[in-house]
Amino acid sequence: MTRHSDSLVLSRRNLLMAGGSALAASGIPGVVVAAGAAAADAGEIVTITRVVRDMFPHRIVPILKFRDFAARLVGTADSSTAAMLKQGCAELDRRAGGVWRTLDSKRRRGILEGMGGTPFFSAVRTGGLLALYTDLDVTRLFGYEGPSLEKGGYLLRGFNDLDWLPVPT
Amino acid sequence: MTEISKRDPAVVIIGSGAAGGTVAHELVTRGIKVVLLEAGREIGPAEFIQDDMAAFGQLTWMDKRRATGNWLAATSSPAMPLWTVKAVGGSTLHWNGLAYRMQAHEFEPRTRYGQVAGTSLADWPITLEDLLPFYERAEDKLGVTGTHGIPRHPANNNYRVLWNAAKRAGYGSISNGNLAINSEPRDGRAGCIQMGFCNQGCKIGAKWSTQASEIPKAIATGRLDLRTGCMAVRIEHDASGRASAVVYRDGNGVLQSQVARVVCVAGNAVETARVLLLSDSGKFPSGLGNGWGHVGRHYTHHVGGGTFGVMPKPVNMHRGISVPGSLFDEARHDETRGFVGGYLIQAMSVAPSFLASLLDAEDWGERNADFMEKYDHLAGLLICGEDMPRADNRVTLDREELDALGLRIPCIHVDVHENDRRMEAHGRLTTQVLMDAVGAVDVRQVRTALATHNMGTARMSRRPEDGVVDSFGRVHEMPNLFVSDGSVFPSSSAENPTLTIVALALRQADSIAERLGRGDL
Ligand SMILES: Cc1cc2nc3c(=O)[nH]c(=O)nc-3n(C[C@H](O)[C@H](O)[C@H](O)COP(=O)(O)OP(=O)(O)OC[C@H]3O[C@@H](n4cnc5c(N)ncnc54)[C@H](O)[C@@H]3O)c2cc1C
Ligand code: SF4
Repeated sequence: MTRHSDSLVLSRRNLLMAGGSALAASGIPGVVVAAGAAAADAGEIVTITRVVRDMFPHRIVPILKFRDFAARLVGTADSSTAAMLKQGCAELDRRAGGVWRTLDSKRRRGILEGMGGTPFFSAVRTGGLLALYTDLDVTRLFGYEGPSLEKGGYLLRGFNDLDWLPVPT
Repeated sequence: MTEISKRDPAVVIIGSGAAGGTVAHELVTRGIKVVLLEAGREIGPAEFIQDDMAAFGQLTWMDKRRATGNWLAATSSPAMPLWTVKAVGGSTLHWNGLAYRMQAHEFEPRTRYGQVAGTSLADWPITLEDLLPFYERAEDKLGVTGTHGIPRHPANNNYRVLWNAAKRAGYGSISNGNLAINSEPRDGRAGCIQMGFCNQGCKIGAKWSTQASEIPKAIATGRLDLRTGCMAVRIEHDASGRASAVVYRDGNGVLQSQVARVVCVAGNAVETARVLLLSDSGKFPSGLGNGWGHVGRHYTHHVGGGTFGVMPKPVNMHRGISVPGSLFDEARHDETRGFVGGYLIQAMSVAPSFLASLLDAEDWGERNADFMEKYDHLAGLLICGEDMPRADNRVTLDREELDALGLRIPCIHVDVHENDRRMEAHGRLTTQVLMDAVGAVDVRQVRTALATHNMGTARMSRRPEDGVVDSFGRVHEMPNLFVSDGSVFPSSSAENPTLTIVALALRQADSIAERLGRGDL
């Protein structure tokens, strides 16, 4: 029997139509994170942390989760993505006429909305979404329970424990 | 495993999913040697991942495609409009196991719905009655609950919500039966333990797939030569117009040729049409089976859409079978609703990352975040309805773009028919009502872009000029070339397609075996 090795990294990138580094930063198993990432710019990481928090405003999720994503995004970017991210952050400040992240949430959202469709916006949004919602530490906070094989499924652990509606007949 | 010589004229089947896996198994158990070409590799239970995004990356067919037209896929995922699997077992690794028969009237939509402008509706050349014995056999093979004395699964939480909502709304026909998921050990496969990762490949094999059932059984006969990582790129024919060989690219990228006495194409609608089109020749300049221009046309993929509601108390929809049952009342044909055909409503759970992606397509920010935080209070519903076949909703080969193997990528064009829009709107209203009936405090409706049910690209017809194949899937213009998958559906019906695909595959296999026995092929 012959075997065929799929290029999962490339295909996933293709599928999700995000920048490669957004995916790398998402931390999905199997996505390669480039070694020797460029020196991270702290200011950019702070700004992107604010961007991703505004996009996914979960007060119950520790801010460090957002910061870690921003750091991975910046830290794993290739040179063209790095330039795009830098430019995106600068553009936010330019539109704010100052430091975008210090504005109130309504004005921040207005400016972010105006950036919708830019590669910067898409990279943070797609990467942030995948990073957050594939992270069991995060989704457990919402009541998701994750892989169940090791625990024997839910057959004896509440697959039918709903008690506020009658049992189907 | 058995090795069949490349010069030994074998039955060659392209694709190891619901259709190809079934035909292969049926033929080898009748003593016929089969070469099964599968583009993907073997991925077994030990490798399946209980993480929706990672499993998606592991199993899904990612080769580039192009979507055009006004359907959602053309804007939201133009390079990947379909959700199918590239691996041994095909999309039966991903599937949910809902195994419903089509309704009698759905075999004659042209007669029953009348002339619907802007469609290419056609009656099937067979009736429900013709298919009944094969449905019976298919249900036995798949181990469908509620048939052949197989018990139904106990109702899980999400199903309980659907059932109560439906009852309160006044609906009557609701069932958690007809799942191709073992409710107790059967046929060498385990009983379901309600893990809730049906779409990610069932790690204990409780869910039927050809990977878990037909393929290993076929290998055990010693008559199957399964060649994985082998992408069929062309079907050749002799001067008389008989299929004579299949050319494929093996796992090392080397072109190979397998001599064939019979060829069955089962690549899942889009890839099936693509192989037929890629096989154009001097004798068949527009591709095989395409003398009347129907190859690739009349593509259907079901009307869809999801609704999620925040319930007053916890549901934990992720616990247990992902799609545990359906409501059938709206599946009837009743034009007073403003459209022809019908749709099913199915309880559905999705993991957080998929849910987030679905919500993200509509909006971003506070509203989504609040909704996601209620994950354990959510119940989910999905609609699945008959969409209209149209001659110009079709698969073609892209003029310019080539894939990694140098093959022209498939282009899938869909312009949504008004009937589909009306049905979708009706479905949205109904699912909203259902959510309200059980006290939902917030409801979000999402559109589903990726086509999981693919039909119609090589439709069957009584007269050669109306389609590509006859009712046995045999290409009108070539005596030994068969199409085995959902491509042959003249119309989609409301039901999930796979039980019908398997029933047709059983019928086709009987016919091939019989003809081979008679020396007729
Ligand atoms: C998430 C999901 C849920 C679903 N749930 C249900 C459900 O509950 N009920 C239902 O009825 N249906 C369901 N379906 C649909 C069901 O999976 C398909 O209808 C069924 O698998 C189609 O069978 P097939 O044999 O035509 O194609 P597949 O099962 O897709 O198999 C096709 C195979 O052919 C291979 N192939 C393609 N082209 C080539 C080539 N050129 N050379 C070699 N190999 C090739 C592919 O790699 C693949 O393995 C679901 C699908 C998905 C994705
Ligand atoms: S719920 Fe049942 S069928 Fe689905 S993955 Fe779990 S054990 Fe398998």
